[in-house]
Amino acid sequence: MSDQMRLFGDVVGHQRVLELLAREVAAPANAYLFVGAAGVGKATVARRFSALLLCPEAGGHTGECRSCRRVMSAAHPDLIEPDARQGLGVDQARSTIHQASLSPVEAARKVFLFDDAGTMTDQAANALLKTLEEPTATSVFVLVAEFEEQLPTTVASRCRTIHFGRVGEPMLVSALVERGVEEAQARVVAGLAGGRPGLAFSLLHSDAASAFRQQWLAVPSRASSRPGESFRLAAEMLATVEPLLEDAGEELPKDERMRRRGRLALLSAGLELVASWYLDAAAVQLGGPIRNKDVPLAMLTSVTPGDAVTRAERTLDAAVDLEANLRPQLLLADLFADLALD
Amino acid sequence: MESIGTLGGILNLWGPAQLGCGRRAVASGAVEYQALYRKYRPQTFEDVIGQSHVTSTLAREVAEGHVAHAYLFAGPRGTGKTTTARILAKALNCENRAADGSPDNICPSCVAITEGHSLDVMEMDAASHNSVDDIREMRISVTTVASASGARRVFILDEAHMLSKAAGNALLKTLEEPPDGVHFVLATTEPYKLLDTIRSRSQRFDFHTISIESLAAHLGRISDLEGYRSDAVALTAVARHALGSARDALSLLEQVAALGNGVVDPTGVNRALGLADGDAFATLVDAIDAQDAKSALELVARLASEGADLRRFVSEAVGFFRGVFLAHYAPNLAEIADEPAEVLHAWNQASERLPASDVLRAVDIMGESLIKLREGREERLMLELAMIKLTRPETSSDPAALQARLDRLERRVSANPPESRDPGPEVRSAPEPVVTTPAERSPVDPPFDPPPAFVDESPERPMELVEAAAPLDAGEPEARSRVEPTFAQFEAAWPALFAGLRDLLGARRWALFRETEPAAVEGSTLVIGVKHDFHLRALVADDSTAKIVATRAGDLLGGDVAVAFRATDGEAAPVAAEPEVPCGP
Repeated sequence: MSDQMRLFGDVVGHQRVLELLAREVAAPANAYLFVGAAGVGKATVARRFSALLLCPEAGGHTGECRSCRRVMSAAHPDLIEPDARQGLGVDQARSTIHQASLSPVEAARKVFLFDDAGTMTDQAANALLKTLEEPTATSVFVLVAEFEEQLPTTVASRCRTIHFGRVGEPMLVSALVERGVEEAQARVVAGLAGGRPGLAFSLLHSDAASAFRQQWLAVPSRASSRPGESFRLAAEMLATVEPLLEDAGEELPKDERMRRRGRLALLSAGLELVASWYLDAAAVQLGGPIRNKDVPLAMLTSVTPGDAVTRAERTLDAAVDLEANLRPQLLLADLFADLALD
Repeated sequence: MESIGTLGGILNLWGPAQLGCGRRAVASGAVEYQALYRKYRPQTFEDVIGQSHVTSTLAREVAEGHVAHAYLFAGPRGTGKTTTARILAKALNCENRAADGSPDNICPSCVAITEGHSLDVMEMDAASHNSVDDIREMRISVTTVASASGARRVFILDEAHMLSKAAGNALLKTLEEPPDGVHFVLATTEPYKLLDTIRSRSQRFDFHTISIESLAAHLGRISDLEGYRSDAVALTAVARHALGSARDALSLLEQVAALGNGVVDPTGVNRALGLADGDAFATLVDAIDAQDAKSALELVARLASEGADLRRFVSEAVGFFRGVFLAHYAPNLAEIADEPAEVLHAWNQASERLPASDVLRAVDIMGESLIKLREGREERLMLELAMIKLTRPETSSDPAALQARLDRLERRVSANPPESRDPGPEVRSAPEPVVTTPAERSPVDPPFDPPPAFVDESPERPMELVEAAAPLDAGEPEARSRVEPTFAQFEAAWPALFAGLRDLLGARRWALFRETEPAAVEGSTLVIGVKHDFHLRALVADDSTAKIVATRAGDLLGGDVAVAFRATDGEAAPVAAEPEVPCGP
């Protein structure tokens, strides 16, 4: 493990990406675009990468030096993070362009870290184009977004795009076990998190995780076309999220916006469990591998492969609609009524 | 300047030779690293690749002195618009311009423009200076400032599509009739966003995306200059992924080289891009052809564990199936597709295996998945879903799926008369799964005459045996030998066996069979435990169940087996016992 890799020590997975970045530190490109699903660790890696770029120590990167500590707490004068909470508008882009023309304060370069680059307006993105392409020699841009398509192609073309996939389940389990989590719990949490270490860590200390999984996996056999029952089931499923949120309380900031995000992430994790149940049902009847090995076979085979496929699709669609600010209970009730076999 | 010292330290640690990346020293003594696309920005008209229709015209105009006062350069990202604009500025001002209109790049004017501090070339970022005030300021400079040393002044407005409407209008008069010696170049990726009145006042040049071939050649030249060890296949792959943009291509090349310590090979390209390896598509084609959902799902598992980017796999797959579709209908494939021979070969091969309707369905399904992935669905679940739909058309009910199934049947009927079914020229790695196209499936009766079977119907015997004959499927190319699986193998095959039987047995037999479990293996006889006495008696009485189970089990275990039913724990359970396995709704 090289010195550069040491600062990445606490990142779960993404070995390929980390190796690449560690090599880039000596001669960074002018702009990077990190893309990947929420919670896979893009922001974590982006911050550590910024620390490496700004660190005055040539070797021994442990994140212990003053510079690295300040990067981690977002207090380094040469780390500029435009506030994306209200979206990134053209004014912020202009002030970034201005800052990019200044010399670094103490480090060898300035790093511009855009955590929610996807929220950038088209005008802001266009305004940044020239600066992204040919910034001063001492500026490095790091943009973080969920998909490349959130930004105009002209921006992506000027950045070195780095893809963050989901972390493999075995890798996530062993990472959790290394951090002192019991293996059984690690498996449950990793299965829930769907390759998103961020979500896995916030669920770690929860006793409710296993119950959460069981409850969601029972949905396919409980779904009913009677509206009253699907409403009751929806209410019950919504309630499964609360104990996990309570347990994750210390990790999640009190901020209402973050709590809402946490709730949505858990609900979509639950819906992905339901979808994986249906996929298992189709896979087992077609001779494929299954992932929820504790579901009785007789139950999986009670759905025909065709029905299972349409229901899995329907469930995944619902997981996306969740983000669109619908009332989750209505959405779930509608979904559960559609899932019913009778 | 402690910081510069330590930066130098880092660089020494990594060493330029080891990284093989381009750097050049700047005046301050610090080391500036430049991305390849900046370092190798073309400096003469000939260096600009793939745009000879633009550059030769411009060179001639410069040489003959017929330079227009306003140009509009339009084209996709990374095709050379800004670069050509700068070369034009240099050519206009060069003191020792060649007869063909090229700048010499060594005279003071050329050097000043290259280094970006010439007073005669104003490069404006129209995206961040798009207000009418910015344009008014520029107009003042255009009309009042005389050029230094009588040179021509060139105003480059990059990202011109971002000019506000008022700004565009403020520019009109100046653009139409600028003072002598002033030239405008507007560069944009989205020319349709410009005002019509601006477009009509300028000479328009359209830049095209660069062909894979010329991009690959360009990458080859640059990787030689940088001292990378590269091979042609890898460079072509990089060029293909750049989608016709020189800038994207060079960024990718740099990324691959950085990851591979200066080596650019196909594995490195796959690793840097998170691509699936080359035979992933061959596996997929095999799976679709054989309707083998299992190997398609295993392919997804393999890709995921290798850290491949599943989204990119889906978008690659759309491209691949599009190619296969072309191969079906275009005899002149080589002319219309800008791809190397190996790719064309792969397309042609796949087109022989898959009927057109299957291919079209694959394009549809993968395309739809790609859109859904962009909306943020979980990649792996989405891809698995697509794989099931692709390999098993019966799981979707849309007309395309029906068409695909019909075509498949027709093909099978015309190609293989039932007496001599040819297993096909290719040797498949996966065992061919049971053919379960619904039209062919006969859940009620096995397709062969029941051979004499040993059936003992006396209910008092603790163990009851039904011997089933070897599967006599006429399609089997050779007779299978009897195998003696271990109990562990039996248990491992059970989920697939159990699941597959639901359709094969039909509702009535399935009702009897569903509460069973593996009990033991005796030689080559699989003993299946039955919970209820009633079920046991019914199963034993009807020997076709055992035959179907034996056929299916034989397929899964790769040889002949017999099947026997036995009461669980060797004793008949009371019929009224509560079932342990919960039933579905």
